[in-house]
Amino acid sequence: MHDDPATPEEIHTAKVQGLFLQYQPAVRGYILSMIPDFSLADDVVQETFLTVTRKAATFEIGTSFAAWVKTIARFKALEAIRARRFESLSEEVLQALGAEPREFRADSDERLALLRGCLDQLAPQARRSIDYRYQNDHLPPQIADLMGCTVQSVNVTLSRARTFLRDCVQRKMAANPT
Amino acid sequence: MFDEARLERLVSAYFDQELTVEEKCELEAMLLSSSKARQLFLDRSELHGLLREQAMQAGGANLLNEVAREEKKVVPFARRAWIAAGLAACVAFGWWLLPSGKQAADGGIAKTEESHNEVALLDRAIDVEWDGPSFAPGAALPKGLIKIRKGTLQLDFYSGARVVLEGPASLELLSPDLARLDSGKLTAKVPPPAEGFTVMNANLRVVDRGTEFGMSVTGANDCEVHVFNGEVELQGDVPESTARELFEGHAVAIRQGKSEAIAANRESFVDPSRLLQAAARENEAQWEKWRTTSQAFRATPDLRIHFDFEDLDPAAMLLRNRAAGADEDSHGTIIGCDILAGRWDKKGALGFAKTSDRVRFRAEGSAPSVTLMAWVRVDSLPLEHNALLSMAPEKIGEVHWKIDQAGRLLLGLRSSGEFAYTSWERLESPPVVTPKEFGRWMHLATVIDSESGTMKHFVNGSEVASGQMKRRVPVQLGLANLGNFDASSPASPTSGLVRAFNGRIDEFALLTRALAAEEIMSVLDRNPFD
Repeated sequence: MHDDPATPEEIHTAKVQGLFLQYQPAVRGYILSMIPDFSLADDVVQETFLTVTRKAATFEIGTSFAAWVKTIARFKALEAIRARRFESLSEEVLQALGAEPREFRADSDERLALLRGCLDQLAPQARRSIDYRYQNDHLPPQIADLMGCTVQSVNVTLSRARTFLRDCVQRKMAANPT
Repeated sequence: MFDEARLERLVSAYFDQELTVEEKCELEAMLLSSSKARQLFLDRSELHGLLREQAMQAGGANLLNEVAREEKKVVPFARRAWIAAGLAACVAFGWWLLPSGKQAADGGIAKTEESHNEVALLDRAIDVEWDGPSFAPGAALPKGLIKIRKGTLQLDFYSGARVVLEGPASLELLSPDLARLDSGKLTAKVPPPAEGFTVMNANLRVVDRGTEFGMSVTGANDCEVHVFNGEVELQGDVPESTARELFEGHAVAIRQGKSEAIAANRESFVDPSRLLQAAARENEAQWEKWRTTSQAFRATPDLRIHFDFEDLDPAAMLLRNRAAGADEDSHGTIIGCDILAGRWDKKGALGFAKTSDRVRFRAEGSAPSVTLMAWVRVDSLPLEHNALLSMAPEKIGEVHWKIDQAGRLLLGLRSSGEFAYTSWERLESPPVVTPKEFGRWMHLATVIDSESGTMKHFVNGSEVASGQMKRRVPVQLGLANLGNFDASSPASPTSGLVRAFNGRIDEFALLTRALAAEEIMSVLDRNPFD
């Protein structure tokens, strides 16, 4: 524990890390689009964070952080796919997706808060399926075992729950807030 | 063009790692052929990432508010421990949503799993010193050990048996009609529906046959059973000579493996009517103490509104603002509401149940910092938002203070005039009002401090959430509703929203100053709740 005043570089790096955290859900979604396995994707999110920290000095505050971090995330994901031969979409498709004009969203905080409210509106079994999938990192066959039902019905539940959650967050974003 | 429903299914299967080789080719072909398909894919990825992010943050409460400060803690890469999996049956399709996404009466949402473990209600606790986990009167007691060093507890088992436990004592609650007394004294009053209620000790089982009995355990082999009324049956490992059935007026003392028939002695156990009187006296003493301190509280600097809900007159619709120097215009007007008991039998409170129920009042001016405090008893959270206070509708500085359906305490402070999510400074606590808290009094406080740019929520004096204000907007005082929400006019987009509170309020204060945590705690110390 020491109280040395932070150097300008440290302050800059901390700012850049703060920006990363703001965009972390978007980064995670983007990496998951290329690497669907949660734990592999988690590693790549972490590598992206480390790279962002290391290269913080090259980022100029005021320019687009979203574009900068997207480039790094994309590079890290492709690197991981090539080096470790993850199952992913074809190179051609990944390229087409990468070229698609689409900015990372900056409003993750709000969307996370709204998502929590929407999750509370799910019926218990749907909620449990989502928790098993996203919190416990189970895939549909395991979830089916845990819930004593078919994989098919888990698939239906998950995709309906996702549709509901997406609509719910959108509705809440659009509606008058508080 | 592509088949959108098919694409949705393939994207879902891709995320869940279930694509067959053929399906993967099909998905790739779709993505290559259409920008719209790629946009849809990326859009679904966003939600997927958001869900995963949410799941990783769940449990690490308030991560969002601490993001800027403690980046080390935030990098949430550690894999969360797997949650113990329960077995649940899926029913037919269609249960994944609540009807129309609204607040169904059955809740569907309310988390009540723990209620399976609850076996008794703690009705009273007099002069009690707990040894181990403590409970407040009104609490639902789960299965498990209850230990007290001194004092008296009255427990109402869900079977209907009423047990008075005298400390020092250790009682294990096993089910709604079974308990084990390891040490101490109890009396059990068992009405017909609870017949069969059983108390065990190490060696024997006392099975009630519709009566009132007392039991005293002083050691593993020392026990007395007294029957005051009706009949009990003794089962288990009791000395040969012991009568297996025991009738009114009779008692048995078992010591060191020998039993002795004795006369039942009601005097050696606590008298229920004395218990009731003691409880009533304590109740009144606490109310008296509150009254004294509440009068002193009126002179607190910067206290603008203080409703104590005492001396309510059903005919007058008037709720007096007791803050020192308050003018007539700041009194509240009661619309609807029932006059009910508050924290103590003699304490007044207003009950809010109908959608019309509210207290309207007006405070003047604006203030950079404000503290809101209320003693509330939430009876249920039927609506998405259940308003405690709403003030100055649609003005910059408008305040919404409310509890959402999941029991989170929410603050919204309007910092711009548009009807948009981003117009609000907001602070959200973790769920603090769970079904366990329903029907019980709690102290809620929220501090808006525009000078330091912080907002904080407190429950029973403990900070449960804090956050930074992005825009330091002063709080606009003005027309306010306690326990309800009003749009500024019928033309407003918020007109018609129902956010009525369901429960009771028996004290409310608004100060134009940010109280420190210690000051909030001292308010609680002065107004203890039983």
